[in-house]
Amino acid sequence: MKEILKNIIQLISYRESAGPEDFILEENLFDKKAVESNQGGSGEPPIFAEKEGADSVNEGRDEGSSQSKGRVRSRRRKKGESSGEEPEQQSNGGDQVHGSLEQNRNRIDQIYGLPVNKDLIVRSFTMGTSPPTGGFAIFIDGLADRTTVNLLLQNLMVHTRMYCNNEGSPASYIMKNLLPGSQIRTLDSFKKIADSVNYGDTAFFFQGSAQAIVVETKGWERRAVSRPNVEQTISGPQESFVENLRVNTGLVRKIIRSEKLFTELFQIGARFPSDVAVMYLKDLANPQLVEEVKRRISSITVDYVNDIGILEQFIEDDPYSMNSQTLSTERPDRVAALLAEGKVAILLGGSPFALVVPVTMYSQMHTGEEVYLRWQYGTFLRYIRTISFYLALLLPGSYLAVVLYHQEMVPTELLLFIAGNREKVPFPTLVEMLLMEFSFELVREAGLRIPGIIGSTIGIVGALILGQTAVQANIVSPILVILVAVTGLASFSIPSYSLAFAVRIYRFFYIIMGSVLGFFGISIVLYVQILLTTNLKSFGVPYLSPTGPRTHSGPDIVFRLPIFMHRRRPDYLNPQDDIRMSQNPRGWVEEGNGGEKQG
Amino acid sequence: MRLLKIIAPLILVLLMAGCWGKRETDEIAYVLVMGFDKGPGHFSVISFQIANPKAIAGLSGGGGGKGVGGGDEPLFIENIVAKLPIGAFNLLNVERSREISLLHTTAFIFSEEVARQGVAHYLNPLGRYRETRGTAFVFVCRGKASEFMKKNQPVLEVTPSKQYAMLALTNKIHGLTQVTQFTDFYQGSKSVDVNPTAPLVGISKKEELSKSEIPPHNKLGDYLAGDMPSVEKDPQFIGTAVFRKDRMVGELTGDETRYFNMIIGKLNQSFLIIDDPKKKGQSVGMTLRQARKPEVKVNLAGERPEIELRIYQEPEIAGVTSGINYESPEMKKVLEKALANIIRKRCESLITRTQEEFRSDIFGFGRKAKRKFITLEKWKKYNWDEAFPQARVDIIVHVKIRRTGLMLNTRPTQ
Repeated sequence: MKEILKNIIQLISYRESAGPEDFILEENLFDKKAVESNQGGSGEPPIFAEKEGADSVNEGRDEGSSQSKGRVRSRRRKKGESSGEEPEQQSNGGDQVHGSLEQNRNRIDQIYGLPVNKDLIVRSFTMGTSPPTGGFAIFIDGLADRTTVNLLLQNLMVHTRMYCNNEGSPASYIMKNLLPGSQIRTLDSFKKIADSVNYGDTAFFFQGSAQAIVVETKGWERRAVSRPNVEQTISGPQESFVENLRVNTGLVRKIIRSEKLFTELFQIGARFPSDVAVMYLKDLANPQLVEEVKRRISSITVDYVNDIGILEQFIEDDPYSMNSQTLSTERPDRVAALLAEGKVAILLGGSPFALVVPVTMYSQMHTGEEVYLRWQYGTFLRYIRTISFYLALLLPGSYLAVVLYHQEMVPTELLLFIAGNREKVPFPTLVEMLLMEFSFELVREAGLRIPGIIGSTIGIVGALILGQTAVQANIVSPILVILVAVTGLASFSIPSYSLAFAVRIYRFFYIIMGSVLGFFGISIVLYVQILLTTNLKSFGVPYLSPTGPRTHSGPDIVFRLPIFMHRRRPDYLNPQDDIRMSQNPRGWVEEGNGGEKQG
Repeated sequence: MRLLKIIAPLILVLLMAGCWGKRETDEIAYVLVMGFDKGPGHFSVISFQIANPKAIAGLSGGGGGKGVGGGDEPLFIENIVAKLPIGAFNLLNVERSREISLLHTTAFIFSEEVARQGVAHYLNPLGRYRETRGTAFVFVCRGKASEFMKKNQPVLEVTPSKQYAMLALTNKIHGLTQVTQFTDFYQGSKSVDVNPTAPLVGISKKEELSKSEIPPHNKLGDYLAGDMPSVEKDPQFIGTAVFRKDRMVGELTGDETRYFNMIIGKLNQSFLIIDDPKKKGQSVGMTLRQARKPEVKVNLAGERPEIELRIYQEPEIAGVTSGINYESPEMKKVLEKALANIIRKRCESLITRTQEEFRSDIFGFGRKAKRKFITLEKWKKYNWDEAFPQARVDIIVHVKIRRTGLMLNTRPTQ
C-alpha cells in the first residue's frame, strides 16, 4: 500500500531529468564578460548604468521587505556603475584618425570586428598620383549604392593619373578635386565615421591623412511612394509616407512650400541612433509647444527606437489612459493641413507614419477628406461617423440593458421576436453577446494575421460559418448577429486606429455593466469615461476641446460650415496667427453681405 | 493595495445601488391582455392572454413554418379564479413554468357585469403594481371578457397588442369608439372633476344581413359593440361605456360616441350623413374635421351651473346625392346651417342623457368648474356630482365648409 502511494507521489512530483542538457543560457555569463572586458579595456561599456535614483525607487517599493536585502541590491548596482565609466575614456583615446593607413585599417578592423563581421566591405586601392598614394574605402554592403561607390573608386583610381599633388593636405585636395560626391565631409573621429558608414555612407582613408573623407552614398532598397493603405480616401492626394525619413519630410515640404517650415533633426537611441524630425511652421506654431515637443524628444534616453509607435509611448502625457494622445497619420496632405493649423509633426526614420501633436478627440474623428469635399457632404460624413462612434461604444451594452432589465422599452412585437429567437439558445444573453463579440474580434484579428493568399477566405469564413451556422445551431440569436455586425462595422468607420481600439475596449465595460446594472450601469461607465476623457491633455491641450472646455474653434468640430467660414485657426492651439483668411475670402462676392449669398 | 482598498468599496457601493432585477427573456411569460369576469361568489375569473414567443418568431414546429400541423399557437389563454389580479399571478405559476410579467400588457378588459359592480378593487392593486403600463388600454366587454379574448383573432396583426395600438389610430379616422388608457381611467375613477369612460368591445352575433335591424341612415354607426350586423363572429370596437366613479352606469352607441369625442375635442375625423336640407329623401355626406378645440366656459354664479360650449367644425363635403350645387357660396351657407343644427341637437341630447340617465360628467366640465374655487376643500364641498345634472348647457356650433372634395360644383346627373 505504501509502495503504491509512493509511486503515485513520484509520478506527480517534480524530478530533475538525469540526462545532460544541450544548451544552457547561463544567467551570469554577461556579467563575467563585462568584468573581463573592463580589464582588457576594449569592450563596450553598458550604455545605461542603473542610477542611484532608480535604486531608491526600487527600495521604496519593497518597503515591507527586510532592510538588509535592499542594501545588498544597491551595493551590487554600484559596482556596475563604477565599471561603466572607465572604458568610455579609454575608447575616446583611440577615436582619432591616424596618419598611418595601417593603424587606421587596424582600428576599423577592431571597431567592426572585421574578419567575423561580413557586412563591412574594405576596398584597398592605390591612386595613380605621383608618388602613388595608398588608401582604402569602407562601406556597408546593401546600404551603400554600388554604382556610386564604383564611380568614386573609378575617379580615384583611373582619373587621378592626370593630376599631381604636392601641396595642402591630401584629404582636402582630394575632396576638392577628385571626388565627385554631392554631400562630402572630412571627419577625423572614428565614432562619427562609423555613424555615417552605418547609415550607408562611404569613408575613404588615405596614406598620410589624419582625416577621412565621408561621401554620401546612401542607396539601400526602398519602397516607392504609394497609395495610403490605412487611411484611404476617395478625394484628395493619394500619396502616403514611406520608410525613408528624408522622402517623408520632402513629401510634406512639397505641399508646404515655405521657408518657414522648419525641420529639426534629433537623434535618439543610445545604442543605435534613429533620426527624428520635428516639423513645424516657425511663424505659426506656438513656440512653447515646439519647445515642449523638442524637450520631450531630446530627453528620451533609450537604447533604440524602432517605430514611431514606440516614440509615441515615450512622449505621450498619460500612458495609463485608454485614449491615444497623438494623431498618427500616413498622409502627407493631412500632416500639412494640421501643420497649417499650428500643430507640430514628428517623423521618425524608418516609419511610414507621422505623429501630429497636440490632438483632440474630434480631430481623431476627422480624416481630412471632409474638408476636400463640399461642406454638405463633409458634414454628412462626419455625422455618420459620430453616430457610428456611439453605436460602436453603446449598442451591445444597451441591447443587454434593454433585454435584461428594461424590457418595457421595446415594442411588444420586437420584444416577442427577440424573446422567440432566444428561446432555443441555451446561454444567457451576456454569454451569447461575449461569445459573438469574441468571435468578431477573432475574425478581425485573424483576418489581419492570416497570410495574404488565403486572406480573402476569412471574410467568407467569418460571415458564413460564424453568423449563419451559429444561428442555425441555436448558439446565438439572429438579432445578436445583426447587432454585433453593426457594431463591428461602426467601429471600423472610426478613422483613427487608436480611437477605434479604445472604443473596442471600452465597449466591453459597457457590456459588463449593462448586463450587471442595466442602464444605471451604462450611465456609470459613461460618466467615468467622460471624466477620464475630459481629464486628459495632449501636449497641454484638453482632449475634448473645443467643447470641453469650450473655446472658440471655428465651425469645424462635427458640423462643418462652408469653407469660407473657417476663418480662424483652432483657439486651443494658441497659434501665433489665428486668422486664416480675410474677412471676405471669396473676393468675387460683393463685400458686406457676409458671404451668405452672391450679390 | 491601497488602490484596491479605495476601489473595492466603490464597486460595492455601485453594485448595491443596482436593482439586480435581471431577467432573461426566456424566463418570463409576457401577458399581453388581461380580462376580468365575474366568478363564483365574490371571486373573479381572471384571464391572461399570454404570448408564445417561439411561435411568433416562427421557430416552432421543428424547423417547419408556422401553421404546419403541430406548430404552436402564438397566443394562449389561461383562466384563473382568484379574488385579486396579483394573487392570480401566483396561481398561474402553478400551471405555467414562467414568471408572469405585465411589462407588455397592453389591454385590460372588464366584462360588463364586472364593470357594473365596480372595478376599484381591480384598479387599485394594478395601479400599485410596478410593472403595469400606464399606457395600457382599458376596455369594457359586452358579454364575457374571456370569451372575447378567445374570439378576438386579429387577422392582420401578429398580436392583439398591435391590434389595440392600431385601434387608437383607426379611431382617428372614424371617431365611433374611444381610447382610454389605464392611468386616465384610474385617475377618472377617483376624480371629482370627471368620470371615466371606456371603449366598448364585443363579439358580433352571427346573423343573416338581410334580416338584421339597422338604424336610420342619418345615424351612421348607431350601434353598441357586438350589435352591428355581421356574417361571421367578429370582434367589434364601437361605442362607449359610461362610468360613475368606478361603476359602469350606461352605454353610448357609436353615433353618440362621435359627439362625445367632439365635445371633449378628440374627434379627429368622422364621416357623417345628414338629410339634404333642400330636397327631402336625399342625403349629403360630410367628413367632419375639428377646426380647433371646443371652448368651455362654466358659470357657477347662479343657482345652477351654466355651461357654455362652443364647437368648431370644418367639414368637407364627401357626397351629394341630390345634385344640388352645395359648393356655391350661398348654398354652402345653407348646408353649414343645417349641419350646425344637427350637431347641436345631437350634442344636446347626449348631454341631457348623461345628466338625467347616467348623472355622470364624462366630459370633464368639472375641470373647468374647479378653477372657480380657491381650495380643493371648497370644490369638494360644492359637490359637482350633484350639481352637474342640474347644469344648463348652451351649445354653440360653428361650422365652416372649407373644402368640397375634388369637385368644385355639382350638376345633377341626367
